[in-house]
Amino acid sequence: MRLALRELRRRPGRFIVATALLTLVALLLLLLGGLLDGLVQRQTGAILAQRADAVVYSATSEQSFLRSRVDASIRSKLVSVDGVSAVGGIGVVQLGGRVPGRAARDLIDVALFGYELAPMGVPDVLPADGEGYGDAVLRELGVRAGMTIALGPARTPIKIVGFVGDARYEGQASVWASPATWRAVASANRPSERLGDGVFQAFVVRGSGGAALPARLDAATAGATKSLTIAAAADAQPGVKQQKATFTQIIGVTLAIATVVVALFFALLTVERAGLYGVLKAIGASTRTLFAGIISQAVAVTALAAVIAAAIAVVFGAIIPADGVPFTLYASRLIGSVVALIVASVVGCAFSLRRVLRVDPASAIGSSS
Amino acid sequence: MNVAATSAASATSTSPGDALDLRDVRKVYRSGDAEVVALDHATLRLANSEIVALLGPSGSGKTTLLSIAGGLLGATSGQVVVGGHDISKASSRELTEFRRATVGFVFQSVNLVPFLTATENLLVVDELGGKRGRTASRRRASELLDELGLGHRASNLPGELSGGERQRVAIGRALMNSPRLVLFDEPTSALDTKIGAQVMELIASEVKGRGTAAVIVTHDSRMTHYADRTVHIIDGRLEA
Repeated sequence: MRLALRELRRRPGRFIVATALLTLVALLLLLLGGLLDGLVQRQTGAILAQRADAVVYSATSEQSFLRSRVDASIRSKLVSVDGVSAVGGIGVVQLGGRVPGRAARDLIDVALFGYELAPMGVPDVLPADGEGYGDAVLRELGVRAGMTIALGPARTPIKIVGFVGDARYEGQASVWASPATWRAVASANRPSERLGDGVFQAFVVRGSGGAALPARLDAATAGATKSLTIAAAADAQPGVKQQKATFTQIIGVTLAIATVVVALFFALLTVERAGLYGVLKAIGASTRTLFAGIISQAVAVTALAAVIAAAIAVVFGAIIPADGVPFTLYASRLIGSVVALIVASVVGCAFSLRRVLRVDPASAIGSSS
Repeated sequence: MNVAATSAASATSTSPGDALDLRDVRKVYRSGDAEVVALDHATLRLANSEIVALLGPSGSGKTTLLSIAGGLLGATSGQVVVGGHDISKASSRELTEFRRATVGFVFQSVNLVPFLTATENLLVVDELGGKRGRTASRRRASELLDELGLGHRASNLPGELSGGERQRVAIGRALMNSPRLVLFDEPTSALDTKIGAQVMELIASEVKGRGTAAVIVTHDSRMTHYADRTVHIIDGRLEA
């Protein structure tokens, strides 16, 4: 292995092509992963931002805020479930927003949430009526704290008093306000969506039980609700599962390409080194030692390629505007992609094992080549 | 037979017995229905410190004999004993350890590792055995290079050395593990006459000085006077 790493250090030129190819493959992998996560984040950021363990919709709503209605009687049943520590109502209305400094017809899409249990980054104390916290996208679009935006055809004023992270909903910037503000904005701009006091589109529930919690909640309401974990609720948003399936397939193909690149490169290198391997076997190298050397080279080359690709991907993520290309690079995605790539390179190397096994140490004798 | 254990012992002690004892060794290759006898009832004994020149035309079985004596190839029948250890029935793993610890090879085309310096090429035998950077090994490599007149070339890569210097490094590599037997495969074929003679002188002095036995395969009858005796091989048969 030490011999192989020394070769890498002293003859880097031999590995440049493989490193360059793997860098491109790794970059493609990270960009695809970042795009998938960015798309999902745009679609479901508001749901993923919930500091809760389950989202409870009405049973016939097909997990849509727009179609779902839950009332106080449901709430009381949820509160009585063992392990539930808090239940909070949530509702959303999606409107066009006018921002000071922008042209009158230059509307931005805004999802205004009314909440009882504060999501991540939002203070526990509800903002005053007529006020709300904007998400990072709103700030990217030029909204500043203290600024008042006008929502919907009624131009309902909402004063932005602070900001939270990226918590988009269906691709729209979000504003987080009190239930009263949400009801007022919905009533003024979408009279048909007006809900009575105590009625919300959904409840978010904090409680123990993990993946089993939703079933217990639905059992408590005798099937009047459809409860999902936060992750499942995000996946239930329109198009999310399809996006994930599509990108996962492309990522799988990309990993297969990485495997083939490594397999081809090291197979060629092994053929080229057959004479040297014959000599090394003749003087006492085992097949295991030689193969371990090949694997160590593949892992080192792949790791270097992954580091370069990761740096490029991080820079790309930092420079693109929040409302531009949907791209979010999570640390877990980064680490997962690098590990998958390294596993692919080790698998690719395995194709060289047969060639190493076939090298006959006796070939070193009587050979003048 | 536990080659690993006995080979390690042979590297540090002078175990009794001949350096090489081939007894009635045959090697037969099958090609379809035909049989090709590469080595035909060959018997050869080498005492410690003895140098034997093996002379014969192409295809006479020189390479086969060298490969069998070095544990690179198994014999069809007969017994192969090197330094007191019978390797006739040794497994592939045992033969790997045997080659690393008990014999040394110098190949026709030198075959140094191109990206290692002269010193590192000597140490590679230790590294392949999992021993790394031992001070004693480094000292031994340095001493060997000095003895071979290559002390000043210790940090040079093979590509920076002349043909004669490369062959001397290869000799050093073969001697690194203090072998009982060194097998030379036409060590001067790639060198001109003058350098070839110098290399042969060096081989004779290094091998004799260490009490090591050697088999030197050569086409060149002018090189045989460096050996204690010459054995001819024709059609797989040895003739003294």
